[in-house]
Amino acid sequence: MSTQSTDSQREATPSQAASTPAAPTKAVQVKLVLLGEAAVGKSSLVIRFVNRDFQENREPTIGGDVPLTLVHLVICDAAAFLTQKCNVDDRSIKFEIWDTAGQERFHSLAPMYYRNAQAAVVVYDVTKAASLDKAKSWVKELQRQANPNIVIALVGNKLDLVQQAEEEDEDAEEGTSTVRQVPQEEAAAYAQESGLLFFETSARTGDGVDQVFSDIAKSIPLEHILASSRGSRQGGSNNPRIDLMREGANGLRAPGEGSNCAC
Amino acid sequence: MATNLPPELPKDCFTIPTQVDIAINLFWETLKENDSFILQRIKARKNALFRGMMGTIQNVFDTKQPPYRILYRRGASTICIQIAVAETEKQIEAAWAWVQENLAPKVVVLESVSEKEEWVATKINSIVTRIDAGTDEISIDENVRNASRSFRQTFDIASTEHLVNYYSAAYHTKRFTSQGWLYISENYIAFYSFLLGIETKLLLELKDIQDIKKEKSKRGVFSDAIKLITKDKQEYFFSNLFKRDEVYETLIQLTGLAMQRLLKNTSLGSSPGAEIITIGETEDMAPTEKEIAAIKSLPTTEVQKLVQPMKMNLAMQKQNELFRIHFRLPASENLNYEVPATYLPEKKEEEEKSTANGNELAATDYTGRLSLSEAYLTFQCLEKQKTLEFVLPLYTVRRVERLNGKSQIYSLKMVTWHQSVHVFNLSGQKVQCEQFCEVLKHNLKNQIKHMKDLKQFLATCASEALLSDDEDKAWDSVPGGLGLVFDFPGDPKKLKDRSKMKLWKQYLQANGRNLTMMHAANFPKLIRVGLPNRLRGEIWEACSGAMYLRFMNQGQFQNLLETYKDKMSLSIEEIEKDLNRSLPEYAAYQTSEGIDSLRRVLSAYSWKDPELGYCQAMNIVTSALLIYMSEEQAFFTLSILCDDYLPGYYSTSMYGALLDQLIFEHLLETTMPMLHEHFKKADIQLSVACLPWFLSLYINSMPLLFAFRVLDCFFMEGPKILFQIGLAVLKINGAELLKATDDGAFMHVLKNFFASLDDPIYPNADTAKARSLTKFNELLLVAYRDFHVVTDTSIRQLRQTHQLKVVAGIESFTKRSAIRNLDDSANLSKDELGVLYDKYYNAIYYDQKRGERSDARMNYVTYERFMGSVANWAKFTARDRTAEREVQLGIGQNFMTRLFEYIDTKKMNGLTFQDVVTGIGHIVRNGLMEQIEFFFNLHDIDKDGFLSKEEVLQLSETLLWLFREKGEEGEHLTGVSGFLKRAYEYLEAKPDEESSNNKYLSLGSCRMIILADETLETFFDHEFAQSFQLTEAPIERQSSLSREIFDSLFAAGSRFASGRGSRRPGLSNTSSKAPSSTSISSIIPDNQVSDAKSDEIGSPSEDSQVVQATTPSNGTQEAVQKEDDGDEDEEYGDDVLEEVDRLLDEFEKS
Repeated sequence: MSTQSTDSQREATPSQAASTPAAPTKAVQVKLVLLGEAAVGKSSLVIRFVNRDFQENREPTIGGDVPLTLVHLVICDAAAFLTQKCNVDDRSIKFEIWDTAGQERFHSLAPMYYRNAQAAVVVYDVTKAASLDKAKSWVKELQRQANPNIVIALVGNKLDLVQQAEEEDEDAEEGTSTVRQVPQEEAAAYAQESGLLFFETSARTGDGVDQVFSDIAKSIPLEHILASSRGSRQGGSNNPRIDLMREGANGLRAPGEGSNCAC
Repeated sequence: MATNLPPELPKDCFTIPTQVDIAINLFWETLKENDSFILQRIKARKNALFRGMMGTIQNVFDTKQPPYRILYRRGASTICIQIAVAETEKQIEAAWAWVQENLAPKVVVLESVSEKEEWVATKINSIVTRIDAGTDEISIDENVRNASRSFRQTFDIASTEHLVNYYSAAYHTKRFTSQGWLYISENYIAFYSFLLGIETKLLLELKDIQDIKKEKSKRGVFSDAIKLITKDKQEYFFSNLFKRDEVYETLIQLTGLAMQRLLKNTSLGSSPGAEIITIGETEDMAPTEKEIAAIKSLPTTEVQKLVQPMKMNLAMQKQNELFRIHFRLPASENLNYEVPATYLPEKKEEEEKSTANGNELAATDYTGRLSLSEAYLTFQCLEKQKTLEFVLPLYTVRRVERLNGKSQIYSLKMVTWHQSVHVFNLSGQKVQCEQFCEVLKHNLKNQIKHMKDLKQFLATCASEALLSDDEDKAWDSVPGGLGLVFDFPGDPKKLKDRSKMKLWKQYLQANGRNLTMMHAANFPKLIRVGLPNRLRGEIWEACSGAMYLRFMNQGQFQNLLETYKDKMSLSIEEIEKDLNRSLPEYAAYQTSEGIDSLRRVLSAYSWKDPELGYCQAMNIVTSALLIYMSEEQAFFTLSILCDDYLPGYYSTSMYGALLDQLIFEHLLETTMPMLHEHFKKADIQLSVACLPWFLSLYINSMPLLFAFRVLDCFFMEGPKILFQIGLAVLKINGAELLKATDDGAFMHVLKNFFASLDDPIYPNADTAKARSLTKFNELLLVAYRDFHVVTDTSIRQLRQTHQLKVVAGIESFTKRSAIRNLDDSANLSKDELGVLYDKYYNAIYYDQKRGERSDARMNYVTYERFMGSVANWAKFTARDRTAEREVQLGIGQNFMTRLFEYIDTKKMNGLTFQDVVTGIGHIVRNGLMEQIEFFFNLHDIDKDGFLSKEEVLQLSETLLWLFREKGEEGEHLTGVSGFLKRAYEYLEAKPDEESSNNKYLSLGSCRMIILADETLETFFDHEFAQSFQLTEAPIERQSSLSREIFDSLFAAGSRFASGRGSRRPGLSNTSSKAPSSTSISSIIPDNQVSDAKSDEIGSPSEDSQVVQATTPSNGTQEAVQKEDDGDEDEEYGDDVLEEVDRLLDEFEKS
């Protein structure tokens, strides 16, 4: 489907991103947030996409050529922030990627990151059934509380662990692997039912990673973003500031109201 | 509780004997008397003016007197001793009978007046103390006792609720003001006024308060007002508070405690750090009865502790806390004694001789204050130009002697373990000094046993090696951080590590080391230039007080690791996930040695504080600590961080981190309003960048070397430094930030700045020194210079005042997620679920034992409270608990238990919120047929599908119990007896055992019988379902009520103003014209004044006693007004309060 997946250009390091000259056509900025249980590979996914790299934590290659700032991002504790440009079809999109901490107690902070987001990548671990439940609860929250036009992608990560196990155990019929705990069909069915994009990826091998982002890039209603960003620059944003303390963290919109917003 | 009391001793009547003078009290009439005792009743029951005034006077003097009392006559004097009071004639009669029976005969026998009096007083005292053990009734302060009694009677508060204090105050609503009393108790704030026949009553739960503000009074002149804002956005304004600041402080302190409980209450799930136990081991759960007993019995220590008035406790708590925080002492310490003193630094022999002659103070002496706790002696210099502060652990003191020769002065010489000599001249009064020495002696004795631990402890201190004679060799045996093996970050040469070491050696030689290190004038400077690698860990732990903790808990770390070896918990799993991504760029964390170290410290901490367990970001902080500290040092430093420096940062709700974000934003607004305004306009969320700064102490945001410099300052100066650095970052980048238009751009600016911290500020400067200055130097300079207004004290205060908002935010978030994440909403609406949620957690909140975490499930006792707040019939009132209703009570509890078991679908002997939603949702949505079936099944105990005779009887009894407050019309009674009669007629044999003699009632027959009776049909059709109150009481009620109060107040005021207050009674009800507006003031018959005070507007008019006994917890506010006379439209008086003065004048004249 996407032959453009390799089109996503790499912008050396995030710290330079701001100063790098823009692509020929002016890129549209898209805010994307990553959500999911701890240790499902959210950060790895971003690093793979942005740096074309996977950092196996155990390998002591870290101190080497990777810029210090990036290392700090990898070990993000609350949330990290990266930008990456992506050209798909005739579109040029600059992703502003917000990575969040996965631990449950950070949950109440998430609205701060997903407010105004146009895209969300909800990640689970294909080898851990419980992580899909958590992903579902994120989807539910996003659909109720986030931007009503948000594009949500459900991503099952760590596919390499399944493939590896299947290779080792060649006799076993496909799909009977004990490593995989979330059947692809089940997750796909759920995604379809809930209107989500769906992917399975491996941040380690890079399988499917680019496609996640390029498909999101295609699905984003650009006109809408341009219109609304123009609006918000003038201070007429539809999404009021989130006041963590006063309104509880997630937004001011009454629950349930989001879906029928006609803007 | 009091099993050995005489059988018919009436409860709740006897009071602690207090003196009253019957000569000046004109309001009482004597009903009965004998030689020793008098039974009196309040007079003036017929005269409206008199009654109104009586109420007013009682209100003004806070002597809300019940209408009946029994006095003991002290011979011929008019001074009597009040021994009992009561609200009703029946109660007082019972007390009188008891007195006649038990006291009177013995009093007659005793001879002298004083003997009699003493005997009566002792007798009554012992009764009261036994009955009221654990309540304020035995409080040592008589005023508190009286106020507490009137508070609890007025608001119908449980006797276990402790009154903290009470204040005279005025309560303002939009249109009127009433003067009365403000009561503050552990869980409530209440206002009561009864002026000129108008009663104003307000009760708020402290846990519902979201903000407390100091205000100017309405006329804007005096700073004597306080505004409270509750979570439902209602505002309450109180003024005329003479001790406004005290009230404010008390409220802040109490609401703070309430918040802590609330956070524990609603936090999701159970302790993440608690050991995971497999299901098999949990089966022997305590039976319900045991739980009930455990909750009902108060431990005796608790009782004794509370005998002191709460206010004193709170004041002491606060003083202790400030003392501990200032000197960073462990939580176990309490301030025992303080005395002004002069500290004389150790002098050489000849110097001492020269000063010993004259008692003048030398320039090198320090005047200040000496304070003593259980295990520590602290000194703080209070002279303006001098700085000296230190803690002397008593276990390091080897010898104390009193120096002679200075007759006027108490001079103490102390010699420590390291042979350093400290001389203090105590300058307090003689008694004070003597007492101080006594306490010191006592505390020193207690610490002797810890001295033996000193040697092995000092062997772990780097400073000992530094100061040892054979330094090189000594260093080898001192444990330290991972840096010893994997090298410390940075180039030691560039860091000037060696010269720093030398400076520290000199400093420690002069000012004491490790446990006894003093903070002299140059101490902060030495720290701000950066600590040398090998001393860094020790200075951190000495500054933070972690060292005292480590000394007092030697072995704890190892014990925890051993006890929980191979045990699993949620936190352990979470720690495991993060071990590989904690400072992975530092060499040690690429090896198992470093990773294992980190694992041990983090897991040991999660076992130590299972409620907190483990929070991401702790891995970052700990991995940084471990570079310079041993595991044990890091463990205790982490404890200090979590408990004292960063309270609530890493808790499951992370409220502390959110709180500090709020404070940070507040500080930004006050210090850099332009920037703040810009962020607001551009819709930039400060926290997206700043939260990680605070959570991981900048370790994650700055290059490591600089982060350690920040940590140096942080441990010395406290959490304020985090704010100062943050503000400085924003200030330095101010121009750039003003250009940022969204979160992304904002992040870029900051990230670029942090990456450039090592860059020189003046790369082209002439001098090498100027060239060597980096942006980090600038950052520190700006932080200290421009933001010196931020102090630890101000941060502490801001934390206190802002925490209510944060907790409210967290609560509402938790509530929404809990409701959103319900698996089954049982067809209940969002609002209904919200009400259920509030009531569920409200019940748990009040049944939580102080300081203890509540179980994630609701037990039976709490469930009873919860049901009482949901449905009226489930409320067990005081009347339900009386002897004549004992049988009914049993039936009711039986039914409630079955309902509990029905809702407890998982048979866990406890209810989750989901259980409650599912259970009650079904009951409420049941149609007529299902509801009958539901009751049928609930009473079908053997689950055979039929009701036996016995079961039918029980069903009828249940119905009767449910109808117990239905009034006297009798249709319900008839309905139930009809049901029972017909049910017995329709008994039949079961189909499969037709030959048997046992007869049963089938579901079909049961339905038929019920449908035949209109009352019962209505009940099952909708009455029962509707008895569950799942809607919020409308807020408008409050405002309309205020209006009524206002109107009637005016009417009353005008009546007095026009001098026609003494209208003839009896005519009032009929002759009154229409009140000034829509007032629907209740007109109350004369003889109900005191009873009716407890009426609740908004609740159905039940008999007043029942209402009186309901718990107020479910209705947060009630403003009740009453007018005992008809209204007349007269000219309105200006200020009703003036009338009070006039009336009081009149009263005095009479």
